Formats: sequence, structure tokens, C-alpha cells
Amino acid sequence: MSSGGQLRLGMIKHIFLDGTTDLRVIARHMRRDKPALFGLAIVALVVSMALFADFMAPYDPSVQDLTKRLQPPSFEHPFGLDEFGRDMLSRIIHGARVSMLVGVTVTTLALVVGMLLGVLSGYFGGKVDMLVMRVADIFLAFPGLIIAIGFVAVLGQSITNVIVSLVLVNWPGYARVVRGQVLRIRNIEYVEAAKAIGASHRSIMLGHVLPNTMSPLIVLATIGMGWAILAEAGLSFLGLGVKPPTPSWGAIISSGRTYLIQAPHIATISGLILALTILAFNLVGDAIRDALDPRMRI
Amino acid sequence: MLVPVVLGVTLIIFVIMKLTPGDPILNVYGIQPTGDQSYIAELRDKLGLDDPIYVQYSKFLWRLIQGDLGRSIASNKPVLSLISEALPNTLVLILSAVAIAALMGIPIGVISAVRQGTRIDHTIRVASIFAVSMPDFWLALVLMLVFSYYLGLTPIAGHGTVLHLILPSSTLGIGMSGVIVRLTRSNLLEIMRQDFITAAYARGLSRTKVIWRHALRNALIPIVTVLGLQLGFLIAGAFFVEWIFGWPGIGRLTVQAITQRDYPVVLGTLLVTSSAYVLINLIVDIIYAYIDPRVQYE
Amino acid sequence: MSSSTVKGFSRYLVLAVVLTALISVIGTSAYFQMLVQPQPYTKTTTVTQTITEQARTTTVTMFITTTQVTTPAPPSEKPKLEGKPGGTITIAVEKDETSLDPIFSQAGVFTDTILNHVYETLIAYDYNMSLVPRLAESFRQVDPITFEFSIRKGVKFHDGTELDGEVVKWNIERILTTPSPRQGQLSMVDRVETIDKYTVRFILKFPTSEFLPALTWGTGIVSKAAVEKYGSDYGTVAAIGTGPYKLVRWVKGDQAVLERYNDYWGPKPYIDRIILRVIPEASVRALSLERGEVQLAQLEPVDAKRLQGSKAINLYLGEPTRMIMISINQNPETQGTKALLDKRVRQAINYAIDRRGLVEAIQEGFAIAGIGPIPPALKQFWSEALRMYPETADIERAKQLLAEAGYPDGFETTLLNFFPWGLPVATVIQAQLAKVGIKVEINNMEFGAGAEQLLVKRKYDMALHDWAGTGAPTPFGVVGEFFDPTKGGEWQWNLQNVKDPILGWLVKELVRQPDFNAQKGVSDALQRRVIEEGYGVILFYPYKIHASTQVVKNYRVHPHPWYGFVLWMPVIEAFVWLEQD
Repeated sequence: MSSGGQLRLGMIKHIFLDGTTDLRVIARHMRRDKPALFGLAIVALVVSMALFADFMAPYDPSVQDLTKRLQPPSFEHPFGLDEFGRDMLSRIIHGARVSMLVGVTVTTLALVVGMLLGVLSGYFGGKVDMLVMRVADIFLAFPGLIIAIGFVAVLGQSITNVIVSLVLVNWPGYARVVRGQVLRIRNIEYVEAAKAIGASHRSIMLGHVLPNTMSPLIVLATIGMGWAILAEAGLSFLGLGVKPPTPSWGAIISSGRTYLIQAPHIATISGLILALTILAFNLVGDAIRDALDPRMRI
Repeated sequence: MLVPVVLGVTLIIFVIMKLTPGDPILNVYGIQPTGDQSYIAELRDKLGLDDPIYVQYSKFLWRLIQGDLGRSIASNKPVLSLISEALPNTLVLILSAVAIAALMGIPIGVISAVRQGTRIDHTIRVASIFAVSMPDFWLALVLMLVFSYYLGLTPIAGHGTVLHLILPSSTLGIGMSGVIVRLTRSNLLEIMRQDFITAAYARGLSRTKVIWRHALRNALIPIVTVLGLQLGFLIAGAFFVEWIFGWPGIGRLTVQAITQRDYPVVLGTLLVTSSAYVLINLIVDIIYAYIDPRVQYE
Repeated sequence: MSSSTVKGFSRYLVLAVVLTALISVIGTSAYFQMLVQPQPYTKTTTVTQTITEQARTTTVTMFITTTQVTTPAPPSEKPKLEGKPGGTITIAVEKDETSLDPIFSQAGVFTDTILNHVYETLIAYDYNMSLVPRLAESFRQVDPITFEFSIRKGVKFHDGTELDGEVVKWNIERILTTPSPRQGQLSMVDRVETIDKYTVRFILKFPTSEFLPALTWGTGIVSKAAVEKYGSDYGTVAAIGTGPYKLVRWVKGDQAVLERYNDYWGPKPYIDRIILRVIPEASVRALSLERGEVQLAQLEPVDAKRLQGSKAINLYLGEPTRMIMISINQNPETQGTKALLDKRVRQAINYAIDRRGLVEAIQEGFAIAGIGPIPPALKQFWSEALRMYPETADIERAKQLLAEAGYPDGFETTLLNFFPWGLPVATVIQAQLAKVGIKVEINNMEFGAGAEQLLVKRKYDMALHDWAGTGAPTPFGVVGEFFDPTKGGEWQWNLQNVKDPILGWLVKELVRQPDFNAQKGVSDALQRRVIEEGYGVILFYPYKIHASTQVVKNYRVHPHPWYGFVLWMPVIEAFVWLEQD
């Protein structure tokens, strides 16, 4: 009907800037919500730690000094030293890299897969719907972490396996929500009208259905980031995450557990940073939800 | 409908575990320093570990129908008895956790709703999101450090007395209470807006009576359902807490079996946990449909 | 001279030479026979035997003459029993294993301790690692492949059945015919015969010094009636032996309870009950000990360090029988990093590693920096004098050697690890080798997969593992199979795939030398060769650390790697009691 490029640009503007998903609405709300701003600040901090770790970290995180093990926080080492004499602050900063990498990748992939399957499922209904939902149910029937643990334990310790297993566990949540939204919208008049005019399935999905699913998805994705970071930390805690010497917050907490009494700073500080990061994402997601529709049932 | 879901999961897990490298015999028996290791081949033969996958799976199904879940490779104990010893422990743990969460969460949620918009409300909101964001393995370590070591109030690990139960159930309970606070608050607020509440005020009832007698009761219903769902989830998801506190529950059993490649135990525990989860979901759905006539059950 | 005269003359010359040779050979061997001085051990008499060489191997036969082959004199009439009866001791263990049936048991502190108190083996090791009879009253070697044991009379199992030769025979045959970890342990046994009601003979397939040590652990005598009664549940539901304690209850994953067996054939134990409680967390075990919730536990170095100064806790250090080491694959076909086939590179690695640092970081100081493949527990054969590489690293020398070998900027390689305790060690090694430019990637595998990689596929660059020998606490027992070039096949112990003819010869000599001084000479030579060639890196020998509260009296750590906590074993004078008020 219209030329391809223009359509796409129009759609993107349409998705993000039509009434239900107005970034300005969100921004306006957030300005007044202090906890949300706090969360946003922490998110920004963690993201910059991930991006600029090499510049921000005062020391090389893998350099060991076995004569200075387990030192508590001091002026030269604000977060103290770990069991191999490595600087904790530098390790935590570099650990943000792993957390963010896993968090972003998992959330994006799960979102894409979930959206795709959710739209297909809700829009076409019937057998497709049944199949997709059954598969989703299978994954939802267990605590995700157990499945992820099984997956990584069995397939081997690597960041790829971690990401894949977390995506596998995560996508049903998004698919469910999208499907619900799609079902809601599917029968609304203007979709019927569009069909009557003869618009293709694809343009209906992209042009009408998808934009209306965005708002719950944004909230879900933000909170999903928090979940993915937590899950990665949990896997690393069990020794199933990244390989040494790459630092990961979960792995640091795990090794801090061995020295919990004689060097509590290792586990407590790294765990606090982890908790604050997840808190930040949850606060932001919560604020977005309040901005868009406080009664959204997520 | 539920049965194929549950069985489908077990089939997938079974296949994945079998297709990947890793050997339960070695993991369990280790390498014997004296003599040769030919017993490994003989044991594998005896346990039917080298049979084709479909043979092993059909043997498993056949035994399942007869109520026999097989024997653990690691301990040679019947899987059923391992599970029946572990499951009650987990149930005790999560029921007490739910109780703690409810006892803490509901009153705080009420306060938050009643003082909506005040600083207390905001503080509670952040605190409850923090409670949800905290990694449970970290919280467990911190609580253990403070209460068991520094203050010496609770025993270190194991299970048996109420004192042993306090820390692990509090760890889980604190996390859950965050959710309950939020739910209580939002449900209560919504109900308070409704007509029958205004009518109660009009009849001259005091504020406290209105809240406690009328509003709360209605607000609690969805909370109860959420708690029920959490219960199902926690059956295997309380793994970290069980592990750190030495609580012999089913979560710990599952993960231990996964890392040891103890296939019969893994299949048995996953079967039981997923069935429990599905069952609890079903019960919750039914109760919900029964209580709330507005809900239509498909 | 005519040619025939020359031939005749040379013929006699040859004959004379041959005769002289023969006479000197016979003479020297006779002389050496006279020199055979068996090593005296406490409380024993040894018998010198002329052992003829068997067709199968030339190894080991002479070795037997130097160990005790006859029963030592019975211990003095009054054993040192000066304790007070009563009390319950709770021991914290990391985990419980699979089965308390000796055949299917895995080595682990829980199982080792229970097996050692519920069952009794025919012979045992005392605190000095000398053999003593236990369920056997006495034993002797009849010929190179036959050993005779006299079974103690009047011994009853916990279920009331009697112990006799038939039961012992049945036990051994059970081990020999059931596929299990124990089956391989007695693979040298051909058959067992009962001579009379209380006398049993073992006939071996070939002479070996490994037989007697194999009987000291994991081969406890089980009640035949009980196994028949419980079938496949035996070992999880019941464990019936002749030991001073009976198994009263075992809740898997939680605890096991042992109670004094009042019809025990020897002096009855002081302690009424032994409880073994499973506490997976090491720090929790240590805390439980501090609180007095448990009275005895094996500690991780971290906790031991913390409790070192405590007045309420006693630490017991066991002489290391075990070593943590890195093996470097010497098979050129499966070694992925060619640099590691160069002796200078291997030496460089040995110089670059800071063993003292490792001891501090991994063992909190509770270990001895590694020297050679013989552990300190073998006191006569271990010596600080053999140390070649300094305890702390010599980075300069390492870099120099690497440059000489053509790797001034280092190289890349992988380190295989499949032990749960291995990752911290590997991480430290990685950092230490990085200092000389060697980039190590840690290949962390699951135990089963990793063991297969090392022992079956035998394809790796460097591998981290521990080593405690193949059973006998002698140099040959520790390194015999390790450096035997013929033991490079699947599941065999030449982990480094070494084909060093000098080493192979030294190993054979080790076994061939009956004289202790000669043995020491060969052992030293062997260690020096191994250390110099750098086929591996011996990192450290960790102490076994036990700790108890003040109420536990008369406790000692038994050096045997698989004896667990030894509380009551009269034949070695282990008489632990509890102070109660």
C-alpha cells in the first residue's frame, strides 16, 4: 500500500509514541517518583560499570597477591581484598559486565521469542495456540532456576549455556502476556475493520496488535532484567556460571561464603551490590507500571 | 491435560540428561585407587544405563505405572522413600515461611494502604521491593552471620527444633512478604473505593471495623491464591535456603541429584514437584472460581 | 701354530670365561642373599624367604621379605584402658555416602568411620602404618602366593551369628564375584580355601605386595545371614558386622547412630553412642564444634586457622599421605601444547609456581610445600633435602628457561580440573603462571567426564588432581604404577603417560631391593629424576585436620586415608573416651 521504508518508520513511531505507550508520560511520572529516580541512577551506574569497567576499576581484577589475603576494606582498597588478594572493588565493577551482558541478552532474546510466539498464538488461535501454550506450560511447571541448573550442569559451564537456559525459562512469561493482550485486542472493531479492508495479517499484527502490547511488556522486561541478573548470580553461586578468572557477582558471593566469619566483607558487600542492582530494575519497572496503568495485573 | 504436560517435562529432561556426557557411576563411586575400574562397566550394564534411550524411558514409565520410582544410583535407596522423607521437610519450611510472610506482610500492607501517599507508604513500598529483590542465598548468609554467629541466638544448621526452623523460614518469608505487602496494599485500595465500603461508612461503622471486617476479607482472597501459587513454586525453589541451612528438603535433593546425574532421583523429584505445582495451581483456581462468582473458569 | 690349535685354545678360553662368570654370578647372588636383612618393625619378627622369580613379573616378589609376614607378638596383657565409660559423641561429617555394605561403599569420612567401627577387617594398619592382625588372630605367608589367616574364635556378629572360616570365605567370594568398586581391589586373589573351621587360606594369582594392604580397608567381614535376609536393601537398611559398635539408625542425608555392642569380643568401648551428623557446610561444621553441638569434626583449613588459638578446641594434624599435583601429559600424540614436551619448559613451570603461596592461600598454612612424589607420611623416604625448586617462586629462572626453550613470551595452554576443590587451586596457578607469560585456560569438567578425559581418553595438556598411591604405604605403593610405562592404558595409573626408560628401571629396582638402605637409595634416585624432568608439579601435601572439643580424650588422627575417625580399635590401642561431669 505505501512504500516499505516509510511504513516501517511510521510503525516504529506508532508503537512508541501513540497514546498508550507515551515515553513522555513515563518520564513525567518518573520525575516525581523519588525511589524510581534512585533506581534509575543505580541502573545508570551499573551500566556504566559494565561499559567502562576497564577505566573505572582501580586495579586489575585478576592480579593476585597471596600475602595480602582477606584484608578488610581500607583506604587503598575500599571494598577490601578477596581470598587471593585481589581487589574487591575492581572485581565487583568487572562483575557488572557479566551481569549486564547476561541480563540484556537474556531479556532481549526472551522478549523477542516470547513476543513472536505470543502474537502468533493469540492471533491465529486454534492448534497453534494450543501447541505454544502447552509448551509454555511445561516450562512454567517448574521453578525456572531448577531447569536452568539442570541445563547448565548437564551441558557444561559456559556463558552461552547460561544465556540459553535462562532464555528458555523466561520466554513463557512474555508469551503469556502478549497472548493475553492479543486476545483482548483481536476482536476490537478496528482490527475487524482492517481485516474487512483486506490488510495482510502481518500489517495488522505489526500495525495494530503489537503497539498495544508494549506497555505491559516494557514493565515486564525491566523487571525481567532484574530476574535475569538474579538468576545468573544464582547459577554462578552454584559454580555454573562464567569461568574464572572472569568475576561474576554470584561467584564472588559464593567464595565469600567460605570465609564468611573471618572475612564477611566479601559476601556482604558483593551481595548488597547485587541486591541494589536488582532493586533498581524493579523500582524502575514498578514506576513505569504506575505511570502507564497502576492496575495492570503483572 | 495436566498429565501430558508433566510427563512431557520428564521426557525432555530424561533425553537431555542421557544425551550429554557425564556418568553417574563415576560421580557417585569415584575412582578406586586399588585395582581396575571394570566394575563401572558391569554396574552400568546392571542398571541398564547403556540401553537405548527409548528402552530406558519405557522401563521408567512401566515402573511408574506400578508406583515404583526406581532406586537412586547414589544411595541405592528407593526414590519414593527419599522423596517421602524430603517432601515433608520442605512443606514444613515453606508453610512456616508463608505464615511468617503473611503475619508480617498483611499488617504492613494494611498500614501502607491506609496511609496511602505518605512517606511511610513510600518507605514501605521501597522496602517491600527490596525484600523481593534480595537474592535469597545472600539473605540467608547475612542472617546466619548476624543471628547464629554474632548473636548466637539460633543454632547453625540442620533441622529438628523450632529454633532450627526460624532462620530458613524467615529467609524465605521475608522475600515473600514483599509480594504480600504490595498485593494487600493494592487490593485493599481497590476495594476501599467500592460502593459497599461507602455504604458501610454511611451506616456509621468505625474505620477500623470497616477495614478489618469488610474490606480485608475481600482483599485477602487474591492474596490467598497468590500465596498458594508461591507455595507450589517454592517446593523446589527453596533450594538455596535448604542447601545453606542444611535443611533436608526436596529442593536440595533435586539439585544434588542433578549434579550427580542420579537420573532416577531427578526424574522422581521433578515428577513430584511439577505434579505438586500443577495440583496446587488447580486447587487454587478452583477455590478462586468458587469464592469469586465473577470469575469464569474455562 | 695350526688353526686347529688356535681354535682349541680359544675353546678352552671361552669355557674358562663362562665358568668364571657362572661362579661369580652364583657367588655374588649367594653373597647378596646373606645380605638380606629384613627391616625390623616394632613388635614383629620377620621371616626371610628365598623367593623364586615367577614367570609373570619380576616385580614385587623380593619386597615381601621386608614387611611383616608373620603375626607380631600379641600386645601386652593390660592395654592402656584408663578412661571412664559413658556418653554420646556427635561427629560432624560433610555428607553421607551411598551404602554401608563394604562392597558398595564409597570412601568418605562418614562411611569410613562407620565401616571401621561396625565391621572389622582381617588385618589393619596401626598409627605407624604397620600391619596388625584384627579379626584374624594371626597370619602368615605360606608361599609366594599363599597367605594363611587364623580367624579369632568366639566372635559373634551383631545379629548373633558366629564368625568362622566359612563366613570369611563367603565374604571374600562375594567381593570377588559382585561387580562393585571392591571387586578390583582384590583382583589379585584367585581363590579362598578353608583349611579348618577357623583357618582360611588365600591363593593369589601372582605374587604381589598389594594383597595385604588391600585387606586393611573396605573389606570388613559382613554377616552372611544378614545379607541373605536383607538382599539388595542390605547396606542401606542394615549393616551387621563384628565391630565394637552396631548401626542402630541411619536417616539418609541427616545422621547415623551407632551404639555400643555389648557382646564385642574385645574390650568394650567406653563411649555409649556415636552419632554421625551430616552438615554439608564446612563453616557450619566448625561453628557446631565451637558451640559444642558436635564434639569431633574434620575441619577445612579456613576454620582450622580460625580455631587455632582457641582453648576450647583441640586440633589434631595427620601426617599427609596425599599430595595435590599437576600432571603434564607426556604423550606427544595427545599433548595439545608442544611446549610442554620440552624439559626446560616444564622446569620453568616448576620454578614459576609459588608453592608456599599456594599453601597459604589454599590450605591456610596447613600443608607442606611439595617436593617429590613421595608424601611426608612415608617418613623414611621423604626428605627436605630433595627439594630442587624453591618453596616460593623463582620467576627469573623460570623466564630464563622459557627463553632458552624458545618461548620468551610464554604460550597458551589448558589445565584440566574435575575436582570440586580444584577450582581455587587452578585459579591461583593461572595467576602465577601468567607472571611468566603462560596463559592458562581452566577446563573445568564434571567429575565423571573429567575422570574419563584423564584416564580413558588420556588427552589433556595439564591436569590438576590429587594422589595418594594405589594402596600400600610404601614407595612402590605410591609411585609404582604411576611411573610404570606399561600402565598407560585405559583406567591405568600412569597418568602422565610417561615413557621414561630410566624411570621404568628405577621403579623395578625399587621393588627388587630388599635392603632398606638400597630401597632408600633407589627411591631418592627416582624422586630426583621425577623432580628434574618435571613431568609434573607437586604442589603441596595437605594435612588432614581433625578437631575436637575438650571432652574428647585420648584421640589421635590415624594416618590411613580411608579409616575415618578412629575411636575404638583395641588392636591398635585406640581407646577414646569422653569426659563427663
